[in-house]
Amino acid sequence: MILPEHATLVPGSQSCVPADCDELSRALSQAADAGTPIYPVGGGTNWGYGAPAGRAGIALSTARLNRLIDYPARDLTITVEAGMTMETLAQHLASQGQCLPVDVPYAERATVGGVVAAGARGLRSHPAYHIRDYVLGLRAVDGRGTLFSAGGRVVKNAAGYNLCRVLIGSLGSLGVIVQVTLMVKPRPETMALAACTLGDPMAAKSVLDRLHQSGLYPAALILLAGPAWRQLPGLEAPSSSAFGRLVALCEGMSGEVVWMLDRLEHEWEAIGLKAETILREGAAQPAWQAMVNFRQPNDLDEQAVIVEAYLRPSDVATALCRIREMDPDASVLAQAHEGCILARIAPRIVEPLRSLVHAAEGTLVVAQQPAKATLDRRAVWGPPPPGFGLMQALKDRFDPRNILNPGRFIFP
Amino acid sequence: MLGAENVLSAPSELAVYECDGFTIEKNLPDAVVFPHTTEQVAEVVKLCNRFGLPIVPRGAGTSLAGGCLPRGGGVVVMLTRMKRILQIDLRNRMAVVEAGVPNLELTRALAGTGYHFAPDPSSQVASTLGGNVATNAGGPHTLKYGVTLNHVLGLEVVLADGSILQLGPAWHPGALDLAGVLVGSEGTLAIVTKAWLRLTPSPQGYRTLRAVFNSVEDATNAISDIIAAGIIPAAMELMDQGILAAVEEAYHFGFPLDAGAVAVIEVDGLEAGLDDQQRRIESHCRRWNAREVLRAADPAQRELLWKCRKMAVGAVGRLSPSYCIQDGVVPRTRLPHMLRRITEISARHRVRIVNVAHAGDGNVHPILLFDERDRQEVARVLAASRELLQECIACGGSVTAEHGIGVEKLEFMHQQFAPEDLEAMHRLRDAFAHAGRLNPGKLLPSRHEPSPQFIRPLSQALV
Repeated sequence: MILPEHATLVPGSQSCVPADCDELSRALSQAADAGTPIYPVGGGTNWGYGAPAGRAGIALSTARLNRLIDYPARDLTITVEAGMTMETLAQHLASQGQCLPVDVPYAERATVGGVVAAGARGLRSHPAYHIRDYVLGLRAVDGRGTLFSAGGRVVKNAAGYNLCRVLIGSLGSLGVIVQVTLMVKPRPETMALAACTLGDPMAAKSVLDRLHQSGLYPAALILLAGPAWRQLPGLEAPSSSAFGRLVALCEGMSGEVVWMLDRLEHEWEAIGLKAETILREGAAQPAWQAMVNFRQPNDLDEQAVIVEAYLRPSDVATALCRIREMDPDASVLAQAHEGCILARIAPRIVEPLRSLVHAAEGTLVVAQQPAKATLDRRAVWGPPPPGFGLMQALKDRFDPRNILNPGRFIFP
Repeated sequence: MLGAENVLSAPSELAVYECDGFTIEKNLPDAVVFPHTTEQVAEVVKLCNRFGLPIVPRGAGTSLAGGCLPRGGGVVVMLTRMKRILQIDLRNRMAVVEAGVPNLELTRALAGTGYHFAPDPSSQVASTLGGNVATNAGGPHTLKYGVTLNHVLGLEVVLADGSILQLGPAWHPGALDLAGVLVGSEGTLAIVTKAWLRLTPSPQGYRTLRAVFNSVEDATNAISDIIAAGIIPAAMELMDQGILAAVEEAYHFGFPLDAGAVAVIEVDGLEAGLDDQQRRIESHCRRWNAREVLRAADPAQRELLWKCRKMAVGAVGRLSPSYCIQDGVVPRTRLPHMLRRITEISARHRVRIVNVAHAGDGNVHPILLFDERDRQEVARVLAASRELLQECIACGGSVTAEHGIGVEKLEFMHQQFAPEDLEAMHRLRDAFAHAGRLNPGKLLPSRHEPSPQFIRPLSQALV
């Protein structure tokens, strides 16, 4: 859910909006002295990700740290302060015909720092799936108020430990990210979404098994099932008996996309599917955005949460069918190449589903819960991951007073 | 525990392990062991802990930075007998390998499957996948495909306390990315015993070009323009006049000897887009006065164009009794400046320097030529090396793109990073209990003692 105003979700909390990095460091070192919890806030779009904040503290906003530091477009890198919104970043990049291909919900509010702290995952397949593959360097302030840098500004760098990787996805529990250097990409010339209906659940598995070796190289291959996908902008509603939809994103130079769509039609036809709809460019945007936003719906009530599971890609279709059996109201978005499933399900099936996923050597976390959060830390993140002792040791060294987002991530 | 056939302890046998590709400093280990299983690695680590011995993991020993040097003696743990490819799972685009599998073995095993393992460092014939993980190895294709880090799905490691930990292969959002930190940690935090690696679908087609330029400046400008135009070639390799002369003398490819630079540029991907990209690349080269642009007409010609790049370093041996290959990186647009500075440094120190570069990444590999019998010249080579690397830092780059810090470049860590940055790295290492005993004296300068100054290799001096 989106945080309407800073701090309202942690009763009794204050907010602090430092003007610059020095002020932010001071705020952190004072908080460390006093043992006051700090809740770093970017655009407030990820308050539903992680366990609810327990103790009152300070909501520390990066809103004023929003400058463009350096954009040597010909180096395909950009350095910005953490509070810049993803939309503003995208505008800078678009002015040079470039982009960051990891799409996130609510880009007009979500900040670069928040996106990196949450370890954002987009809808495209590797190498455009995870924000971690785009972060070259960052600066952060640890739980003592000390500013440090990690990585660098070049695309290839083997000097020292890659501290960026522990901070990415650590949900602000090791440091408050204040600046990020990203690798960026040329913007594809054109894009198209191709979609078809899948008749029955059995079809899903055989379709994915056969399409994984496609010579098509789609930028994304997504399976959708459940009531949330009855309506998808620009696409006809499937018949009520249909199990779901398959959506492929083709992008590149226009000649490439023409070839891909042609090839896709043949490949799909060979396995009994028909590309019913092809949406191009602007016409594809509403449907694409609806899929991007699925991770963070703004209408979650106590009846639903979004979970995110990682499995072997070959297990995705089976798991998707099981979810629909366990909760007939469940809606699912599966990223076929990444082995990732996002599912909107009833909170009561989180644990049964987790057992199922663990049995298949996968992982499952709650990716979003409603404002009146009902799931605690253990329910959101699951049992401690392998290596938890090491992670706790790291946490203790970067945030010895445990003031950074206490209780929100995997640490007590 | 391992059997006598898997343990070496006689000084004559140990001599092989006193150094790797970096031979300035040498030291005999106390023993060398060859475990066959992860459990044996763990037992060795526990035993070393009991006796307080340093542990030095080692693959093929191709490190040019002293990553496998047994600095304080101790036990060298050879991973080369853990060399099974455990699984190739095309459906899930994943290979499971033991640490000692040579990079090229995996590539060979994947031939004809339509998939490949993207990182292809120049050492790939010998270097092991475990070593590639430890150094976050690169190669000519990183511009488009990324480095080893981008292709590791999971790791099995033995920690410094002898415990075994499996991270991945399924991604876990509710965990710190320890595997991501272990990649490139040069064996100082854990010993990698097994890896789950991402397989990449092989491209449908290639277009390979060789462009001959009048000057290095023109070549780097063309390369910069290609990127600015939104084309991401799979590789863009640059050779300067000095190295061209060596290649020409050795192999007679027919390069004009007055050419300033040659670039080998390759695009790959869908056939539908390749001709167009090739045409655009060609026109960027022509705009920068390329006097000749040769297209590879067939796979055999493609091989030939690559051959001149791949054999370039070997040809250097003809120019000079000794040479050392440096590794540095600058933002791509700073390449013309960097190459100009290399020329100045070469002149000022009276050291002949020829250049190959992964130009698309801004990764330079200046090769310094000398005669190791001339001690004064050696001193000038060391001084020139230091200045080159300092220039990389001054340009906003890094003193190593793909070879690692090892012991060779410890002295530069203080220049490239602020004290707070190094302190954060120390805290990371401290979190790994007992890690001080794993590959000690590498990657991170000691908190208290000054780093010894090395800068480079009499070693390859002896090549």
